[in-house]
Amino acid sequence: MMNKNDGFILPIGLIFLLLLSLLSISSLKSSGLQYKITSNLTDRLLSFERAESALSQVENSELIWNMEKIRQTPGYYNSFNDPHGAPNFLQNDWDQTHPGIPIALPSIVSSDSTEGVVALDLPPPLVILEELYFTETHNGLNPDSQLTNVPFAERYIRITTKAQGLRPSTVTVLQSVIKHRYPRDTASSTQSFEHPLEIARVSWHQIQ
Amino acid sequence: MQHKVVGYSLIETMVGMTIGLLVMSGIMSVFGPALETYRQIDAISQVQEMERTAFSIFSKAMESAGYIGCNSSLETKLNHHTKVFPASEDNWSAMHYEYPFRIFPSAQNMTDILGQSRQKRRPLDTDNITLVGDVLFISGVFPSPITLLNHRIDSQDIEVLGNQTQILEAGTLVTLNDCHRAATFQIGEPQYDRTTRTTWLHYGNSTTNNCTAMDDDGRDTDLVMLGVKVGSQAGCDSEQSRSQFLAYRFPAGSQVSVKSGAYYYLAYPSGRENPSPSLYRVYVDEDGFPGLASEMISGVENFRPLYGIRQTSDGNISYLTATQLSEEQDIDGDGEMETFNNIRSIRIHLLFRSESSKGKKTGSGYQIYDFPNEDGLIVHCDGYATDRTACPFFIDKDSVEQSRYRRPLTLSFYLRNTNP
Repeated sequence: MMNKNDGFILPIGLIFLLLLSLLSISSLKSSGLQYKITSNLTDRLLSFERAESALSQVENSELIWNMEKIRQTPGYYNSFNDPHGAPNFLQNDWDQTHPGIPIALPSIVSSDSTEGVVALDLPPPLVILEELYFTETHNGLNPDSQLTNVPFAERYIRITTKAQGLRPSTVTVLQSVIKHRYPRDTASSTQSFEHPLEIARVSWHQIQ
Repeated sequence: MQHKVVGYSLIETMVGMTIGLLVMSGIMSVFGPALETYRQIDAISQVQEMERTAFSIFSKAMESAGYIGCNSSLETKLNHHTKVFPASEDNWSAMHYEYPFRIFPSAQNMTDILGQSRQKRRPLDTDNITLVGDVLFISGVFPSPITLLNHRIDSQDIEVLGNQTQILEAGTLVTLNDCHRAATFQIGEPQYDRTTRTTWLHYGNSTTNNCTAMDDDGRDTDLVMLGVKVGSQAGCDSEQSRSQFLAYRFPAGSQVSVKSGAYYYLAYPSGRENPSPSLYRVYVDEDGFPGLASEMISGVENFRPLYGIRQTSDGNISYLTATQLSEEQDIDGDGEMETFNNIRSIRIHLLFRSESSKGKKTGSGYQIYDFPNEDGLIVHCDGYATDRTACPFFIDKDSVEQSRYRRPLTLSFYLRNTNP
């Protein structure tokens, strides 16, 4: 004898499955969005930390104490003497038309459960150094007047660094200006302004 | 014929109901505290999210606070001048740019400021601004690659590289910085010269007071000026001032930047039931007038920034309120009155309130927290404190407001653009 099956098990089961599927899809979408937000934030932080690390490395290097050496680096520009040749740091072309100095940083490692610990191959941050103002040559005075009573000569150098995160589109550009102070010996006419007496940072800004 | 009795007897029903009640009470006793815990955690996570947002907003703002170009640690060498757009207003807009920070402890002042915006062209939904806490203004400039080529003192014109008419317009407040000195002024209509590919900006208004002048010691002067009177004397066109002051010409290669600034304050949002104050931000337009107010974080009940001055004697930082800082006193012991330019760090105190209730059981009684009052003294807010500047939300025990989760947050930032 054949049973007459007229229950609702199948449609109800299907409805439940559909509801569960919808629930899991929506939670997946939500967690996917959260993951994207978090990974973007992480990448931004990574690029910022790398740029700041490069900037700090240059600011605290021996190079910055020696004007002669600064002028010999490939990333050096004199933006005051040649305003037309100054790199435009708002556009990211300065690392191609105006080459920067690559700064070596410790490699970033990623711990992945499938691949183990791997070093990420990221391009090194780039740095450019611009010579800006020097009180000996740019006193801005009119009529021709000398800053005779100033015991120090001052020179300003702008350091711009650019670093990327895991994605090439995540870019941070930081800039700081440091001031060199040179003791001025008015008696000597052949005074060299190559080795500053002291250095101080006078400006910091995140460009991008 | 006896009927077959189907269904439950009275005893069976009562036994079933008793067992059911016992099971239900067991379930309730398990779920009740779980629900309470969920509410608490939900309220705490709401506040945590607010704190994270506040940190993100203020850390970004503080990193670049006071940035005015090449040398952002310039103190008295920065001066300003506006041509005054629109003509009916005074120079208040440029006044705010004198220091990296400016504070408006009085609510009336902020209403006046937002009123300026309303009078101008942008109606704000802030007719009934009731401020809580202080108002913080942070100034700076937008990063700019605009380079000066020529500064003509006699005609009060400056020539900059490239076509800058897209960025600059009549009334824009700009800062000119050659690392050694800086000046802020307001420009007229920029003129692009196609042959030289440069833009001309005019800053003077052809009066005798418009000139660029500086004190003749060449250093440590507050008289680097563009188009304003030098002291009480007439402008530098006069014979008297010519003998006293020298014209200062910004050299080619100086940086020209557009001024930027933002106000942060607490106010009540309109059209919301049982609102708590929200943190608002108003960016200042290029011409120095406030733009539209944006609600940044809701549920912020108190806001007090304290300003850090480094003591000359021991190098420690003392934190002061804006009012104390405005009282013109020598705090660090260097013999000079403090200004907002002497600030080395900033400490921001915020009091957050969760949007949802943290549960009834834990909601009874006043929540205890510490918060600085308008004199900078930490007040223990325990429901009995009478200092409303530190504990503004003393609410009845039975009020629904009492069941919100409250937590104070302190953010401290070292300012990068200060004197080394």
